[in-house]
Amino acid sequence: MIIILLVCVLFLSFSFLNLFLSSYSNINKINSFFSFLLSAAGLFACAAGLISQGSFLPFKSQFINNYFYFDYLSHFFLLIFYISLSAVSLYSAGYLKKTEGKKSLNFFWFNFYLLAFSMQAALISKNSVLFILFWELMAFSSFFLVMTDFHKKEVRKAGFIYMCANGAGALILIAAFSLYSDSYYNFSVSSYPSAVFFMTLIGFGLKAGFIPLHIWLPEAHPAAPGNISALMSGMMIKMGIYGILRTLSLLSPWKESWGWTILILGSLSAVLGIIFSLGQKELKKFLAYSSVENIGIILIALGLAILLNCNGYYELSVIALFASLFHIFNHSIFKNLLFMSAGAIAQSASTLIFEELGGLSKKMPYTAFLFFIGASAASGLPLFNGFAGEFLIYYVSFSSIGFKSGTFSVFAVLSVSLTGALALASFAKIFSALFHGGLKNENHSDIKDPSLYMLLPMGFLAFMSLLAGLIPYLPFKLLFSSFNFAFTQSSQWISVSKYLLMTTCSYCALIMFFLAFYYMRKRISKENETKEGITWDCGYGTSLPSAKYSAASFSQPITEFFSFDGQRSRSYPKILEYFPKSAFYSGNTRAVFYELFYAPAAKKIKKAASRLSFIQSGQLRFYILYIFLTLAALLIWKI
Amino acid sequence: MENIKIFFQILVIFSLAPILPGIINRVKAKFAGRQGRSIFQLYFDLYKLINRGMVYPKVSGIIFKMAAPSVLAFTAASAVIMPFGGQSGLLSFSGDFLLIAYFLAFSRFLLILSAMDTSSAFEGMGASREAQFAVFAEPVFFMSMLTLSRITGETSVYGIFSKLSPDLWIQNAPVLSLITGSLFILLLCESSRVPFDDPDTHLELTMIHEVMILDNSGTDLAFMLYASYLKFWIYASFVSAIILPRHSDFFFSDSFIYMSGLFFTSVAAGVTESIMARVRLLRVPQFLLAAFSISVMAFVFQAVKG
Repeated sequence: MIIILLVCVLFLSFSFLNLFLSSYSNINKINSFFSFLLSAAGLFACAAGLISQGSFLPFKSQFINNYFYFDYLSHFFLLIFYISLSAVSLYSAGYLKKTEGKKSLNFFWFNFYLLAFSMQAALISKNSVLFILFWELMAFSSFFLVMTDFHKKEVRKAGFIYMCANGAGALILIAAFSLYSDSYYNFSVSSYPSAVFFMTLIGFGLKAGFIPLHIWLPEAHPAAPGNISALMSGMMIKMGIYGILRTLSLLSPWKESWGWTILILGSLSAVLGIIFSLGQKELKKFLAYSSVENIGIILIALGLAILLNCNGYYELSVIALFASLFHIFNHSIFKNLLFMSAGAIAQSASTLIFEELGGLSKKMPYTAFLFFIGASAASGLPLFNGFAGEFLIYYVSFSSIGFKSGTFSVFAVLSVSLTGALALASFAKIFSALFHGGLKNENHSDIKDPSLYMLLPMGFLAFMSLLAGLIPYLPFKLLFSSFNFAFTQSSQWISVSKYLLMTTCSYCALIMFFLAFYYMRKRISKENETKEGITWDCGYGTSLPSAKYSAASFSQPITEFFSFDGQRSRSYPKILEYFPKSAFYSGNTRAVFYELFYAPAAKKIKKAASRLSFIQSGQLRFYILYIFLTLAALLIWKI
Repeated sequence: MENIKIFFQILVIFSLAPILPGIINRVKAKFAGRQGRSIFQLYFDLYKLINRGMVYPKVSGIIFKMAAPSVLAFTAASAVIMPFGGQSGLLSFSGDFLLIAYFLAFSRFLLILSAMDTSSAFEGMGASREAQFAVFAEPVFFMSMLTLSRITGETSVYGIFSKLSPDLWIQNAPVLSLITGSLFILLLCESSRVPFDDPDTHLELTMIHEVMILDNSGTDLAFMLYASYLKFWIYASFVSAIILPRHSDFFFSDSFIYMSGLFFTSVAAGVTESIMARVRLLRVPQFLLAAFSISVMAFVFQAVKG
């Protein structure tokens, strides 16, 4: 705990130190190294706290008791944060190498440290004023990080949307916190639980990015540099979930309507998120929508937990909560990995548009391999960690389907299974678009795998993903056994443990089968000739890289089915001659929520607000008058 | 004794899997008024293919080379989880059907990637359709399993199968027959039979499963074909276990009942193929949504009943 506080303070001091350092060439390496060391220290402190159950019980010092939390929830999120941050820090040393010398990175590192500090501080603050302070600091520093490439127009637009989302969220949160009934500003029980719940759901939801509050995600992620979008998707959107969980932990008893709201919002973002992702043309935008989907899955599990709790199935409800936390952990690992791979590709190929890429697996074999692990995990396939959390959701749903009021689990099962099938299609699409076939661009002939600084953290995350996928019991026990010691003795805990261990057994059978078939083929093929030939294309015989089935055509049947009029716009020439000379096709999928709802709404609000602009006269005396009038009104109201 | 039984049933599954498509072929031939191939013809085909050399497309990478053994491994691993007759599978635990579904999904993922790895436009087209059908097929399976799980109160395939009995049929006839219907449609879709896909078609543009393995040859092709036979066995087992629930605790009679269930399912698939034409590709999602609606209806009936 002392270590965590110390790490926090060091992050803050390093951040300001960066402003005074002269920008010399080694600043990158030194900074990323320090950040890595600090987060590794934090990681060990956190892991030790989680394993040696109960070291996070109330601390003696009065100061810490009143202002800081060191409970299970904080520890859990801090652990994920440190894993993300340590990987991202090391990665940054390689990623920022290109910009070294071109422009000063002091401001970047100032914000990076500040972001790291504010996230940790928000996770441990118990006092709502402190919390909102750190929360805003987080929004502020991440805004500048997103705006790193501010000379591009689309980055400025993304930054603006991001700032609006942050501002709106913070305003609602402040309003919600004011409903807490505690004069010391501590988080405590409120007398209006439902109002607090729904307001914080919106306020934190704007950070978590579930549908329909997701609009900033697909804008800000592509705009931000690779390391920052990894950190944002790996950790920052989880801060929103942390806020929702923290609120829930304070507002008991829960109400059934909250559970339904969260479950339906979760199903909506899971299914719509992945459907939207299918229509994307750019890798980071795609990954951002996939994050929306995963937040949806996390919320589905959370909704199940609330509903089960309200119906009196407490043990199962805890397992559902674990499912939600487990998916947070898993998603942060594989999404970090995917964004880091995207950064590596962006750095070497300088584009992330699917139709301009292809054949990268021969040039970047390690990146392709790591991306494959990330993509399989993100599609929720067994052997990788993305499956483990979803598997727990299924476990809870199928265990509760027999209950009289268990019909809510139908929603969970259906949306998770539909999401799984769609995620499979979309990740198969992007993997083959990026890595299969021949090179599409001549400039890409000299691209290669990124430096070891970048590959190492990616490899570490891939290893974690594989380990947690193959033996899901291991992280399950490490993460959750300290939740409540008595719970580890319960029948549900034991049956879930058995269930997770049995998946490992099945994986063993699977791997044995694979080895058997592999060696069988090897033995047979020794006797026969193995040749290389051309791909069958009806005897045409010249395979062009551009003739590969493109990403857009791969996803066309699905996107066509799920789209409605006006969402997709297409243009292609009408063919009139028998031998047309040239043809083109361009399709565009619109961001439905942004273009059909938020943008018109913002326009209307702007119009209405301009009518009130006469208040803002720009003359100081009027403003003083306003202050005076407000004070007078308050005085009258109090009397 | 138990170990011998499990060894025996794995042996039976792996050795008899190619018979079921053989039966379908025979039924189709009879309907067309032909003598037809022997039902053991597929064994000869597999033997011929497995001893042939392989040709890899130049452009393909490691995924294409690894796909065939891994697809077969995933399918085989799900086949040994499946119970056999009244006997539990090699691995049986609560929620094992999820693993079956996800193992098969992974094999589909690898199949799609290996098809795309050849960078052939034909294979890409097939892969795209396969991915699309899966989106509509997956919810059908889960909805049916939810209903079965709710009827029997069990969460493992073995548990569900062992609770299915003639008595349960008498109590829940409408629900069970609806589920049989939706699972049968799912069987046809997942094992790429008519009306979803035609294994006998010879035009690349209209193939789905066949086009995805167009560039596989020799041992690899044998593996891929064998995997598809095993997949048919797995889905047919679900249908067979519902239409002919086991009666006794005697191993051999149970196995016999189970096998005859599989036989009837294959004959039914053959008859469907003979009397139906392929539906248009654009209609396939509607067809699968119909199956989904049937399974939802089954669930609603069950939920209303209590």
